[in-house]
Amino acid sequence: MQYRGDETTGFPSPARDYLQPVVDLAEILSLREPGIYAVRVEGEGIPERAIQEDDILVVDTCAEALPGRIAILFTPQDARLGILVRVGGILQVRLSEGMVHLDEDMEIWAIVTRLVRTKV
Amino acid sequence: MTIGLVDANNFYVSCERAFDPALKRIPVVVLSNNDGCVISRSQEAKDMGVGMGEPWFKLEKQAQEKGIRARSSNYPLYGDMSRRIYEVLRQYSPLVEPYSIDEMFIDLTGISKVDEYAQAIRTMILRKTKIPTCIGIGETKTKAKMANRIAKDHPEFAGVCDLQRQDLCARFYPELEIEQVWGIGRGMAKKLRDIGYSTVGSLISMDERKARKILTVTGARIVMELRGISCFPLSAAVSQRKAVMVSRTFGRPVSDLRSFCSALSSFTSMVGEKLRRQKLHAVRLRVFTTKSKHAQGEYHEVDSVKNILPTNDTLTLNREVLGLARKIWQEGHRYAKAGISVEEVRPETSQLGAEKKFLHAEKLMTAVDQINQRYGKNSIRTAAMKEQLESEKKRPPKKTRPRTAEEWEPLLNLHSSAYTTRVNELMKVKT
Repeated sequence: MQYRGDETTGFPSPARDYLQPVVDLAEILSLREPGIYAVRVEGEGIPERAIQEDDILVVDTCAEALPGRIAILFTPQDARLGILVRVGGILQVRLSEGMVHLDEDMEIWAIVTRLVRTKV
Repeated sequence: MTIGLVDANNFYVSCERAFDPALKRIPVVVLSNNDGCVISRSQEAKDMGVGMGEPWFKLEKQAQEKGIRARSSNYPLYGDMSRRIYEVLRQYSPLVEPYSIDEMFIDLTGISKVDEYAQAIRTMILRKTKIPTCIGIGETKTKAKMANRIAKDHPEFAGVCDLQRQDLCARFYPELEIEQVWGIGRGMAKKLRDIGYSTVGSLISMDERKARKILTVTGARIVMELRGISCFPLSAAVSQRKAVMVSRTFGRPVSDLRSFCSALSSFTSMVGEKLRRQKLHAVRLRVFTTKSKHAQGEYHEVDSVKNILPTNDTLTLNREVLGLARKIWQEGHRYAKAGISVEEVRPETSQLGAEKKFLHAEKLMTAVDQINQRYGKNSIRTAAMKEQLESEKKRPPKKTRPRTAEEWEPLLNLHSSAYTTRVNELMKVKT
């Protein structure tokens, strides 16, 4: 049996008509939205942006690619994490090894919008 | 009415590519359960001449030389990506009918510039799910299907074809073969060809009474639909399933009764769960299998059926299933596939009286379902199932069958992750 705070045996629960479900993190993080995905950070993360190894990033494939935002990038080998930077009017990306140009071998897959850390 | 058919291009391969950049621009195939044969191909693989349904053992050697990459089918991923496409479509129309995992009908009635609207839908699906699609448009489902086919075959349409346009009908109907029409099977096509109807162009001119006489009502409806008169309405509701069935092809043929029964027991628990979820009782069970006397011999199907007291209790069902299994089991034969189907069901509520025995079973099954829901599939299971489902919890690394796995289990090979549904299998991003 599940007791939600409403059906009591002795005194009727005054909360009966005021019940609310437990906080729904999937809702807060919009995880059910078709363009939202969760990904896992491998390697050391981006310390200056407080992103650590094993963090879960919630990413939005529709968010605008603006300088300063953190992006998930598709290279021919793997998915990478980088910071978008405007250099001389052109959007580029800073990876752990340095600046690189965006092109079809360095494509923006999504923009990081939220951070989830399960171990604190 | 204006109906669109949104069809994902090479859906399974596209799902794999969405999360694995290494698969971009190279030939990729997705294989059926047990890695039997090719069920989805990237354009590059098609261009190389890889056929649909080609068995993997034939392809495996040259795959290495040609750089063809293969993936096992990953249905948790494909199911979730299908849901995402549906969700995107729902933002564009209140009525969307998921027709198959990779095809959805969408109501586009009253949209002006439907062509542009469809392009916007394609762009949004691609952006949100990374899956390329084509959209066919028509006054009816059959025309939308036809239009989709044209959009796929003719790149100049840029993925959208609207057969509401008379000029396009006039251009394509005379060259489209009747076999390409949705709903015209081999039998009907042959009948038509025998009397001289071989193209869609000739078919739509067929007199209605003649159509009904030759093709029966179903065929006559297809003709009407091709003319733009709707006979198959859009429906968002999924028809209530009448039969519950679970079957699998074994990883390799099974020749001992213990493995056979263990496989069937695990199917039983899936059947039980499905019945309980739909609040149904089984009243007629069928156990079927394909067997062969010799290693190289032909496989044929055998089955056994029994009427039972209405129940959805896994333990009772299991007793019945194992009884039927022993009936069809013949020592010395090899079994390639087995399954259980519930041939007849009735609603749970018609349960007679509140006999204690039944109440116990009901409570027990509720507990089992809750435990499995909370701690994962098969956390609690019947003893007959043993540990064979270990591999479903933790996917084995390439090519090896886990030691704990039973013989009948499908070989899980070349498996990609359930990127969107399992927290331990999320896409990894490197820094």
